Amino acid sequence: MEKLYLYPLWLRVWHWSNAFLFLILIISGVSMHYSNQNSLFMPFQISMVAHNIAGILLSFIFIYYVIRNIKTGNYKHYIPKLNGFIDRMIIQGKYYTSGIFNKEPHPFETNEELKFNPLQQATYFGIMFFLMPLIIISGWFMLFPQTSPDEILGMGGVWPMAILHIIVGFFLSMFMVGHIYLATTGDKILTNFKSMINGWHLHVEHGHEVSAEKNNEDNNKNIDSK
Amino acid sequence: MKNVKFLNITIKIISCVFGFVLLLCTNGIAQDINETCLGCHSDPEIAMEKNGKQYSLFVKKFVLAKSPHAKKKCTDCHVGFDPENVPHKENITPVNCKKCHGDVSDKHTFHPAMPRATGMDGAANVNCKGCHGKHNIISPKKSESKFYFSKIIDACGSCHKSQKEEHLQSEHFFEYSNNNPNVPTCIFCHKLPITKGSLLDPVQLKINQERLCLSCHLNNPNQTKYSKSLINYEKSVHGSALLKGRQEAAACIDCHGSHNLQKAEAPLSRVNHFKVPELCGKCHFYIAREYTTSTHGLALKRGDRDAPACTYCHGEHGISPIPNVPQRVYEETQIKHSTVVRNKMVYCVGCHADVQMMSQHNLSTVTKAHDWIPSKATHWETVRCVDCHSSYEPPNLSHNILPPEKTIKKCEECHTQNSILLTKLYKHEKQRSREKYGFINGTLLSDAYVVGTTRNVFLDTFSVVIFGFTFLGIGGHAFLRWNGGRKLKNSKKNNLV
Repeated sequence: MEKLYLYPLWLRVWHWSNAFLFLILIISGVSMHYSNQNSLFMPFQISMVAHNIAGILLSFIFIYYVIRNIKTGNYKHYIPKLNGFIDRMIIQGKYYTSGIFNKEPHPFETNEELKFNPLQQATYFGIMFFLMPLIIISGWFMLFPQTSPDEILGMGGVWPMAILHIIVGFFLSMFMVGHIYLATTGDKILTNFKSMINGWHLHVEHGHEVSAEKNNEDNNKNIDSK
Repeated sequence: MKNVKFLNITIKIISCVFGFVLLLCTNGIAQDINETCLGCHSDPEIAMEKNGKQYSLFVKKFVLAKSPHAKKKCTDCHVGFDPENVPHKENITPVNCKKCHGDVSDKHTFHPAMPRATGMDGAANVNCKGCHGKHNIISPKKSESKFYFSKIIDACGSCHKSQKEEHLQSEHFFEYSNNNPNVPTCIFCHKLPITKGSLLDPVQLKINQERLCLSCHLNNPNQTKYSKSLINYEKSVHGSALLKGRQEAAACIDCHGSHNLQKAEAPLSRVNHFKVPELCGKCHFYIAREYTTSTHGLALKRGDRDAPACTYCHGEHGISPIPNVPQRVYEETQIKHSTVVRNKMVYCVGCHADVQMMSQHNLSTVTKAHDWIPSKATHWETVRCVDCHSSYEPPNLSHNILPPEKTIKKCEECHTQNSILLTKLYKHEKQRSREKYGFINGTLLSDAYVVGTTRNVFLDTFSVVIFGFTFLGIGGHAFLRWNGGRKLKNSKKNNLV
């Protein structure tokens, strides 16, 4: 068994803080959006304050995350290599839609050079570089509505921000659910969770895992030859 | 020519002499006949029996002498009576006053049975002798008459006792007892067709009553602000409804009463300030019920004279005139006159802009109380006082005006109508929150939320669909993983076996 220290402390702290705040934001956000005469998950007044505080904190730790990513070069893992990217996506997609059911090895094994598989890369890239900034910026516009115009194209100035905020919120919530589920697709159900707690990625060198490493090389070779 | 002129003069002289002689003769004849009649009927004992009952036939000579009928022959009234024979007439018929007084019906419309009566017919109190007597008839113009100005109330009141009792409490009677010559007496009003029970159409009856009152009160030289508004009565909702034939429309006596008319200042007056809601509530029941529970209604109940009753806002006789609000009020509040008139806020600002009155009641003036409202000019234009200060939600109108602490502050009622209004409210609330709690607390604790902006059927459906697919996909995927693992285990077992 090989242990790889892939997740440094700052990343794990950010990750779990982000997850915790995200959870609060989803619960309070859903509570506010679907509110009627009765409270949904929590009283309307509390959900507003909770959403405000969690949103502001999440923005700050996101800035911290961006800075640390730039400083440590961790951001490179999020940027997919365009050459053969589609093919790698298809391979990964095939694994999730068929191979995984037969306990086939992961087509792209995690290592220090490649932390994310192609699907993770595409998803995280979209989320970290587009959706997160969008939801944060639109959220801050609503915290400081004076910065919005009174009217845009015959509609209230805050309205587009609110719509954008909630649609991005839907996608990010969907992502969170999918993310938690896919985290169970490690060697064991809790393997990936443990990795994200202690920082160590376990590389098991027997059975499927050995063949996975071989598989990884074969896949890359096949794509390169194309 | 001279002869003709002489002949004319001669004929005129002869005619005059003949006429005079004839008058003397007929008078003489009348006196002769009357002397003959009174020969017997001046005996106090004279009587007749009819149906076992004794009727006096005694005529007081000196009473008859004072009557306007003194120079008439007895047989002028007692037609067909033969003084020489007893009984004087085979079938005794009642005296028919209408024989001479043909216009009796027109003059006596207050006794509606009178037009149907022939002579002495009808109930005892509505026929001629019931009021005027028999041989003791005296002209109402004479001070001895019971129908003379100073006695008429007692005369009518002898039968119409309850009406008399009411009248004695009235402003009309007060003026009457002060010998005001212009005050109406019973006959003054009731000689016109205004009495219930007359054969008139009920609407026409009310119109007659109303016009009778106006005939004096519009021309009253000492007009009050109330009587001045009478000029607008027929244009008011009540007046115009009446003229359109609505019998239930309020006319003068419906509010003021008929015989017991009293000035509004009188505590027992039906139109006294404190009794107005009860009065209007007789017809406007539900509105009055709302009013009585309102802050104004409760203040009135406590005896606060400043508390507006119905007529303060709606006017007395004009109903819906614009109260005269001083110009300074518009300047202080920066509310346009046209706006307050259109929004009916003119009634409210009349009092609520009065610094002195408001301070007496520990209330803020309209300007001070609304300091917190941004874009005041726009709010004055678009929001009526009752929209926030009554228990009903706009655009309904309620008379249940709430006390300041219960005022509805539902800004979102209007501001969720469209996203532009919502943005304005949202910006304002955020700013207000920061001003109130400071920058950080105001940002975090602000209770502003873009209510309704993101709540629409498309977004709700979209959210349900994407979350539904996500959970379904994950559930299906997890099942297939579990199933694949199970099969793999089974095949391994089989291989081992």
